[in-house]
Amino acid sequence: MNKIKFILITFIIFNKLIFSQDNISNDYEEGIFTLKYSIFKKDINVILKNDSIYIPLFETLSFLKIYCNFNKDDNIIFGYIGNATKEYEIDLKKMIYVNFNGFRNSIKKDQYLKSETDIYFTPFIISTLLSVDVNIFYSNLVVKIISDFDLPILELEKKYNKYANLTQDEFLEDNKILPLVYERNFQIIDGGILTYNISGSQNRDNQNFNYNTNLGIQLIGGEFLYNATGGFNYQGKEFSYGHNFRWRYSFEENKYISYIFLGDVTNISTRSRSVLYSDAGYSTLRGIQISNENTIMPTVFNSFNIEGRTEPGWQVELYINNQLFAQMLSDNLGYYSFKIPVKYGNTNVELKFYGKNGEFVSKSQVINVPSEFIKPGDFKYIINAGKELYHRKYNANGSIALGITNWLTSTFQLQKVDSLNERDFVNMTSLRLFDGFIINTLYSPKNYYSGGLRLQFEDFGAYELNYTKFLYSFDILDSLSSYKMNNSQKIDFSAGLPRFFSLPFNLTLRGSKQFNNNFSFLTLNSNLGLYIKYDTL
Amino acid sequence: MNYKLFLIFFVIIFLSKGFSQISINPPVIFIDNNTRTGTITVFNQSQDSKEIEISLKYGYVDTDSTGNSVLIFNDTLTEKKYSIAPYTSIYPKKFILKPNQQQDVKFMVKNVINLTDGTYWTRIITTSSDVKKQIDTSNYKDSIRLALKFKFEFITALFFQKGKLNTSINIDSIETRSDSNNVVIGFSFGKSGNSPCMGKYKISIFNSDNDKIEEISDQISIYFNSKRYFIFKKDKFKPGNYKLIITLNDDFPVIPEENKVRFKEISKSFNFSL
Repeated sequence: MNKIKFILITFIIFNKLIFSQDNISNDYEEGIFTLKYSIFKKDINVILKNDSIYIPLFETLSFLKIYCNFNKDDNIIFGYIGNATKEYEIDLKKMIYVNFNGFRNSIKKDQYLKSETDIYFTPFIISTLLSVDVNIFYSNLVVKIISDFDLPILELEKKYNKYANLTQDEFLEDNKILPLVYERNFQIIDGGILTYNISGSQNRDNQNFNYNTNLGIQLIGGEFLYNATGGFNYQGKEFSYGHNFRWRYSFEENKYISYIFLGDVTNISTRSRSVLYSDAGYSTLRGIQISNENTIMPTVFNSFNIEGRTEPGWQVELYINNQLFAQMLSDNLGYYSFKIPVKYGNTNVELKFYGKNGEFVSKSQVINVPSEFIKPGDFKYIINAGKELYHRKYNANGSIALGITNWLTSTFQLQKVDSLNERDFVNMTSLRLFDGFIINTLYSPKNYYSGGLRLQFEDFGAYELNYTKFLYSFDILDSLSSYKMNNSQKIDFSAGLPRFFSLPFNLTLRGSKQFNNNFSFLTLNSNLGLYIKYDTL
Repeated sequence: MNYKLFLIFFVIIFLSKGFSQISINPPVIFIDNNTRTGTITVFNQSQDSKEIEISLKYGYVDTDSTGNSVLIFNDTLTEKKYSIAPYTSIYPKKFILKPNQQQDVKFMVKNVINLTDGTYWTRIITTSSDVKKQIDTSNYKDSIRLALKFKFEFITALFFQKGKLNTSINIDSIETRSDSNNVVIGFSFGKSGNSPCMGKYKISIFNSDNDKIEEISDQISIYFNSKRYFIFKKDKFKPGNYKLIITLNDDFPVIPEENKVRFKEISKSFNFSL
């Protein structure tokens, strides 16, 4: 035998068994690679054939949380990335694919393999379809995806991180007790401030001298303010002077009393406008005022429920004034519900809905809480007693405002003037029918009744219309004469137009018409604002 | 002819770099039912390219009657029940590894839905050999040539853990025997639960004066009810009565914490005479 013979002797160390590689049928081999993207990884089965690697599309899309739908009849794979606007499509009948940038390309037969459970594509197809880089590392069996933009799985992770760091402290600041810089220190008398101003003016006929001085000191644990003004007219030898003083003691964190005023006080409340129309008006008393009104304007009004319905299992995010406040998954029927704190003024609420397949919908609303509303169950009172400085009559009045519901606040005011037997009663009620739609009523049995409507829109401005029926007579003066108004009525309106189309103007219109059977007066005024902004950058 | 063969064999043995040619990390991999995959890395530390083959073979550690650790590969009875090899695919199974290079090998466990909760295992056999070189046969005449191919097998372990795992161990009895050099003590371990018992043992032997004359400690893996034998040098023993305390706990540093199957520490005392 003229052939070379080889004898292969195999020595086996440790063990007698040798395992030969399985024979792989159909000239392809199943490989196990780790699919990696950002911090995420998953082991997947790939197909290796003729030195080419084929990556399972459905498993890859599922891993990346990219929506995908396979129409088996038409052999079309369709889906989108993120917010459902980035669509892609693979048509295996026409052998073309379109990525979400609109890039269209053909598919060659050797660029994909079909199995019962998945369709395997070459890295090039996956790369161009998703506009990502797909790198294969054979030594550590890794398929690495690199993307310039965040793929949904990363977006979701960031979202969950955002949820984990979610804090609602900022929205609940009224409940937050800030640390005191130092404890309250009671002093009989302590340092203060004194300011004064002396001025003189002269013209051909007159010479005037004026003075004004203010003193503020800490006195008996409270604050004492003293103001003195006066003047002297040289020609008339007239000397005028006036002064007022006020001492206030504040109570810390007391629901029933927040301060006592002694001295010259005004019967003004931060929320009640009933005094505007009462006999007392903004009158000044020398006497005492006790109240549990907030010494600073409160911020948080109350909790509101925001609820609605969307698709089941959607992620719902709630933003308050553009900051994420809370998030939840809608239930099996698609319902969601949030309890949010609402502040005085406008609270912009935005809901963002994220679908399971990357769908995105948002809607927003504005919750308006004017300052006249107070928290349900809360009450604010103010009591004044003393001698009215102008009429020199003893006067006592008081008001109490009740927060009945989120949408109803009512204020009652009673006034008794010493020399008059009758009591002056005023009621003001504020009713919020729905967001940005408020009705105010004002009723004083002896003097007037009034009703008004206020509309406030996020983008279209604020409008107010008010009607008042006066039950008493009064005089109206103009430059020429005086008119006696009996049984008169008044309509007030105002409109604050926003800056439409980002134009640098805004317009405010105000008007009123007062009339009775004999007279009619119309007052109009407008205010046009111009915004000029100059950026140096 | 036989002389030549043996000569060639020994020359090659001494020239080859033998055991240090490849290394494998980690020595044990645990795969759970969630990830279902595991990875080992094969390093070629030699200066030559190596052909690597990966295969799986069911086996477990035991001791023979003389106290030596052995790998049992032919227990077909338990293989049917505990081998994960039929469910495990490997990639790549065969590859060439250049000098100072490394290659990951992945294992994926599939179709285990019908397996009951418990630990299943197999041994990973990593076989390393030199790359077969192309031989120019044109100058060879009619003669017999001998080619030797050494294959080195490295055996590591793969465990698959499914569901709720539990294990416990008991020591039922001991037996002792001695020869001129050694004292061999055998323990009958009773294991229950659905997972092997892997931990640390400590055996302390006291003479009749209660002086500790011997103490040994090491890792131990008990897969089934079995007898394990431990060897002690006889020169420390004199004829007489002895007391033995054996303790087993689940301290097994090679196993990651999350893969440990905890069991209650056990301590037993036995008396024996020589």
